[in-house]
Amino acid sequence: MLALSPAAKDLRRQGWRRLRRTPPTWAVRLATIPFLAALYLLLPLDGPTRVIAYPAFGIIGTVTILLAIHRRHPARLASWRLLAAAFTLLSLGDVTYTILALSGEVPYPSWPTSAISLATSA
Amino acid sequence: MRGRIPGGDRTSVIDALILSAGVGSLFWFVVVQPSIDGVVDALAALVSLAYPALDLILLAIGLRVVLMAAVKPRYLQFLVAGISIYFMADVIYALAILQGTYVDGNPVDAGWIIGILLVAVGALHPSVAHPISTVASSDERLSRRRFGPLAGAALVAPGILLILEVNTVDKVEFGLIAEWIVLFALVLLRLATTVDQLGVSLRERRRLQGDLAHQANHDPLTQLANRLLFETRLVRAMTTAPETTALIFMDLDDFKGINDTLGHPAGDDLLRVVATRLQEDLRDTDLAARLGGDELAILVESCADAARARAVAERALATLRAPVTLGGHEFLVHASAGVAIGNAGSTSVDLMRDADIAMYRAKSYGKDQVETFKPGMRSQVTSGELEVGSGAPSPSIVASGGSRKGRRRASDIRLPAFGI
Repeated sequence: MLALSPAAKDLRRQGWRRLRRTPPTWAVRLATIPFLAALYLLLPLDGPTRVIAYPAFGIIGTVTILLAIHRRHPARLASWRLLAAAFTLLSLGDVTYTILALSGEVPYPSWPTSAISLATSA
Repeated sequence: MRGRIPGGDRTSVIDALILSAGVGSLFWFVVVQPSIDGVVDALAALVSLAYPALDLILLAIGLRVVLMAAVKPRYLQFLVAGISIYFMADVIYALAILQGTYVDGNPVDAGWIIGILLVAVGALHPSVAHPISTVASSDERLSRRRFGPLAGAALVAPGILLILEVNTVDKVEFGLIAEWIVLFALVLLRLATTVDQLGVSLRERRRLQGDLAHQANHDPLTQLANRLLFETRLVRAMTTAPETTALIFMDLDDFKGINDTLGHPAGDDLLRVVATRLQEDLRDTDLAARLGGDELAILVESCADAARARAVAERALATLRAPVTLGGHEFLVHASAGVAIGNAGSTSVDLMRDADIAMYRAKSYGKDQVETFKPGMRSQVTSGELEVGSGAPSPSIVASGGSRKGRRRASDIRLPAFGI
């Protein structure tokens, strides 16, 4: 009769699930992107829901980059700070657009929104 | 960026500009030009087009970094993918604005969301903490993988012109453009061939350089490091961390007996076997060398103390003791080893001398053993108590009759065929 080694017994006690490879965290984060985009598209087209929801993604992006700078200590810190600043401007532009859209007709081009948003890329 | 290379920056910048110009041509001909005539609000059109135009600059910067990187880290892939998707969303948005079809909550918003979140996921990736190393090899910059997209980008503008000419059925212009494309394709083909040939000759040159460097630094018989490489590494180790540098000198006991009885080819075979065993036994960071004849040396770097170095030497001697078959006879190879470890004031010459003294002390104690250098040994040499430069008389390469039990010292038996 085959006897299990102590290590194997320990493994069986704790469950074979330990042996399964769990996907890396970044892959899980990556998988949530299409899910969030689909969730946005599922929001009702009529009414202000989408206009209100949209800036949230810019804010999520900004907060994530700031968090990454704090936690990961990127090798090119200045570049990431610049990117964080750009994302902050992007979020500001989106929030301004949302406020204008909710308060009535949005003039296009809207000077505050366009100026802030274009400054993002610049 | 780490490890900048001469000309590397310029190549990547030009490549990134070609790729971006190709995408820009596509953007101009497909998005801007067809819609520009019908635009009522010029300012609105200008603002809408400014977004993708600025994205294009961002994309060019991103592509330049990607092209320069020897290894494309995951975060960089996410970053460029995010910018690309954001650019495409801006292009679709600009098109919708020019055509007056954009409404809030348009599905194109999902493109922006994906672009933003991809950059965010990239920022959180652990690879972001490591600097990007630049392309070290010119092969990468000359590869077909790089050349293909560049050729494609360069053909975008004439390709679009061709499509436009086909649509207007202008035979004369069509012929000219077709000729332009054929000529351009031929020039590209010629360039690709040259690039291939250049790549082959570069690889061949690199291989030859590698061979020459190997020959200059290695012993041709054993493929161990030669004295030149060994001394270079020893000097470097003694300069940077003398306290953790250990040296082991080894000498095969009575190697001359093998050469005299079985001939030099058998002696060479024995040295090859010894070298192979030593190489297999050592860590990658340790360096084994043949200094000449049957003199071998091992450089042990990052060695905590003399005991650790002694353990390495004892293990090496134990490895060598396994039987070797030469000329139909089985031999047990014995060697004597001297160990010396550096200190703050010592030089590479001191360390070599100390290890040598310790080795001769091991030989004087009856061979097949390891002796660690002690400062008192120097005075023994000075007083003549310890003779350095000649081994003790009793030979100790042991010939075997085939079984372990029957193995004896070579001096105790006489092999008529070989005269031992």
